[in-house]
Amino acid sequence: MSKIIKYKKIVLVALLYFVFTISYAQITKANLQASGLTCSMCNLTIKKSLEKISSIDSVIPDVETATYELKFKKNAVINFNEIKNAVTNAGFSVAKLVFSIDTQKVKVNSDKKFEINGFVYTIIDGKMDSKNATTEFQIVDKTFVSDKVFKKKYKKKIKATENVFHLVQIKN
Amino acid sequence: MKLLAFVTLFSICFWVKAQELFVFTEPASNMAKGNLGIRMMGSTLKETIGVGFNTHIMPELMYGISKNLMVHSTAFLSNRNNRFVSEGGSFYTKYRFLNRDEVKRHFRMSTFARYSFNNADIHQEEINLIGHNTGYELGVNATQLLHKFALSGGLSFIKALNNEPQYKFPINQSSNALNYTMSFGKLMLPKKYNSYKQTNVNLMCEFLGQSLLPNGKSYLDIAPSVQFILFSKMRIDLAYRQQLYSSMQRTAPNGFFIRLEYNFYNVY
Repeated sequence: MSKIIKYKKIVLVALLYFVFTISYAQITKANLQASGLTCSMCNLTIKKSLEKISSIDSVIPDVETATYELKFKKNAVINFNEIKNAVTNAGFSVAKLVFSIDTQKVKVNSDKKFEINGFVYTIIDGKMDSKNATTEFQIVDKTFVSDKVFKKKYKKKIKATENVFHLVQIKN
Repeated sequence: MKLLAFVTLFSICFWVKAQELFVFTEPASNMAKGNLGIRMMGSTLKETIGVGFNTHIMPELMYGISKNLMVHSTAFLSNRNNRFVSEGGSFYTKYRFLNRDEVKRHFRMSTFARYSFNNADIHQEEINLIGHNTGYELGVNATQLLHKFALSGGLSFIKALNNEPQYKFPINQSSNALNYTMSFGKLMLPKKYNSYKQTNVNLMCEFLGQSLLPNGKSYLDIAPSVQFILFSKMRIDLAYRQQLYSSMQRTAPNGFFIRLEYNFYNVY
């Protein structure tokens, strides 16, 4: 009898692990462009700052365009504020941050909001693309785009008091 | 002849503008939070009185406290009195208060303060807190980066004090001054980046001026330099500083400078 209970426990733990693994792999990768720099020394400073973040597995830079492909650790909780702060602490700014979501693993509610690991996202332009396996979104909050772009395109669409990430779908 | 030399140097400077990691001035940008830099500056300057050269060595540590605040500390050693002695040191802090970033461009402004101490004899009218005078400096600077070109300007107030313990500041000299600088730079190589291992070559030109208050005596120097950045971590600067004009007494305004810098990332 006790053996059966033991097996049940193992199966339960395995199931829970499986469920959490699925829920934590909703964001698959991200691509970031930094602003305020040209030289490779500045570029390396940002790369080193990003590599300190515990959720990031690898940072693949393009030195010429100051863009960084971010790959995340399995089961990692991804905090985009932490990623933005890594860039600003290096002395620069985020010009563009785009990330991919596994379309099947995220449920968007009626007011175009969804939640991943306690962070709330709201889609202000576009939608979750159910026809494709992944959907790409850009975060368009202040400090995630340049001041000029924010004022021109997004300031009027975003309520400053809302503690959520505002997203625009990137259509390929 | 002097006018011709001035025009030639000025033209060269505008032709060879380099990026903002200047040799004689600090840009408005800061170091990254938690990064540590070490520098070693050496200069050989020709004495205007008598014959010969004097050599200064200045080891320096730099640290980024936050994204907007950084500090430097420097030690001054010189062989001006025939053997190498430690003459003093300097503490410098810079706070960035304005930051406008766009892709491959920025406009930044910062304010800075320096306190220097020195035990050497006071032997010139020029007030120089880098290895000569005890005193303090308060200033502001602004830097514009436009892709491969950078332009930076600074204005500061300097107050010279006694070089304790032995040398009082001469009562017949101005102990206050305004310093003004203008620096230009351009990234020459590589033409296109594909790796952190590519050696960067920057050409720079700086104009460094001072006016004593209230007597109005002044000088203006030009300082062209070439800079190599290796592995995106290490800098080698080679520079020459030349007086363009001066109405104040200066003992060794002209000479060569070499500076090495190495950066450590995420130290704390």
